[in-house]
Amino acid sequence: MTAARAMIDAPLHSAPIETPPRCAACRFFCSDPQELESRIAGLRSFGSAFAAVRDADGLCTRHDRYLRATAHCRSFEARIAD
Amino acid sequence: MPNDANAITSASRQSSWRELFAKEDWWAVWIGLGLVVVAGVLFANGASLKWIAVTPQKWSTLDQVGAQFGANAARYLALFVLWLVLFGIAVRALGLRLAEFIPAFVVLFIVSALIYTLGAWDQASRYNLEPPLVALVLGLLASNLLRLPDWLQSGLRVEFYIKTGIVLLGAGFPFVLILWAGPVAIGQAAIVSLVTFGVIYFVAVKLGLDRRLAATLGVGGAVCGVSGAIAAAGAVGAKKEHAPIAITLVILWAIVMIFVLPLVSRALGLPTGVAGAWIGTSEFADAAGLAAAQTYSGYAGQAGVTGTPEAAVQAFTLMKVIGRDVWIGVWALVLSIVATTRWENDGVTSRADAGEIWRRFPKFVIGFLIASVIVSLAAKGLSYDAYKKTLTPELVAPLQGLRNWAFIFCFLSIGLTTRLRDLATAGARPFYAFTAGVVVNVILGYILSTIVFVDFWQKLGEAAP
Repeated sequence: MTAARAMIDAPLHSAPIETPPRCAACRFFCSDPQELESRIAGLRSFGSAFAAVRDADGLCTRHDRYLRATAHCRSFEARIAD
Repeated sequence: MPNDANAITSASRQSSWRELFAKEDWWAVWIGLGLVVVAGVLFANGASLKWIAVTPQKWSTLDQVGAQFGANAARYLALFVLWLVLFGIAVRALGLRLAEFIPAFVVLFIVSALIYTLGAWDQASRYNLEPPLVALVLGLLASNLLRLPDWLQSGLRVEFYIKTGIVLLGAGFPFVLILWAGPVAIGQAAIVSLVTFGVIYFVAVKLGLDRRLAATLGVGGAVCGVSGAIAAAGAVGAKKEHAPIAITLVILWAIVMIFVLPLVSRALGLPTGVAGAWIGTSEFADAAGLAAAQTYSGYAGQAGVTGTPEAAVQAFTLMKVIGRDVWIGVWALVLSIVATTRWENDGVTSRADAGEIWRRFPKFVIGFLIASVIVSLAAKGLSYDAYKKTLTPELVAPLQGLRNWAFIFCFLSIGLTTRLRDLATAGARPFYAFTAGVVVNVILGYILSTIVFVDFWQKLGEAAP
């Protein structure tokens, strides 16, 4: 297996199944595009929260950081379903 | 365990499918390519899209304008309905409110039509009334001096319109030209991007700024403006105020450059292909750069500006879209690895993976390339005469007309969404760091476009069909 192949396969093969809960499911995490466009000043002028480059990133109100949806931390609290 | 793994894979597949209708990049592809395919089918059957792709013609008196609109009222109405339906479906799928989008788009279309018509005045260039600049200035004045209704914002989708326009742009872009010029564009863009990022990052860190802010500023200035800044911010886990600071600086400098780059290029008498390459190297955002490049297209043939009008937009697109935009995922991945392995994580773990390169890839570029391939295949085997007399007016020109409409929607939206009072305060140190990168970027871009690769970009202007 080449190094490049190993790098591509790494996330699927080496990721532990028992992963900690991700930001995407956390109540402190906001990745709704319309909400992000209203919270991040200027985003709509030359950019967009609906763009592919954003992926599923969002704002964490617990840490006041802009994070990947796959990030995780000890402050996780599950979002209550609507 | 295999069941868990299967569930993860299945969820990932579902997410990928959902993205095809949840991201505006893909909607730009569906709309742009849909129009190209319909135009191609009509052309193959001896018909054309040109009836609906109506554009204002040159005029010198208001009577002529009235006569034009009177004679083509049904065509303009059909064009309006076409855009409204296409964008409306997309906007609805993206989760925005149609009830707000429809009236907003009515306003956007009418004002765009007026600006487009003004640009067709035979004295327009004498008074610098190029449609991109008029749309921008008018929009900026309206958004900063008047109180615009909130519902109007729903129709101002800058990125969506520019991406749709870029996909349509591919239809007028011979694929061989992309193959011929792409490597040079990538080489030139790589030099400028790496140097600009290095300067901004180095100055920012030296001034004591957080490395996450330094990286966000760096990618915003070196790769693709607001999109670059937001991608980098997520990749490095920036603080919530970092992206707005970078966005403020990108917007301010991008607007300055929309006016400065075309005017300086014209004062220097740069050929259209050379100026387009410089603009593509030194502008920060696609929308801003296309406004500048489209403006310069209007200068072709005036005051010693040589080269075809299309060459400015073509060189810009090669440099910015092919040379810089497509690498955003790579930048995000590399910065993410650096951030997670070299910088403190503050209790948050955010791990990068190679899939990030694809997830952040600006998918509209795929539409641009496919559109180019489709029209290039349609032109295959045609003589130059047949290409000029048949393919250009019946297939390419209508798609170029639709592209110009999408661009004007975008340019007007830029002005109307840029409310200076709403932007975040950037502070002096981020400003100095970003501005250092701007200065180096503009000088280096000028040297590469007008000295190192000048023969190449000049030739592009001569060779473009």
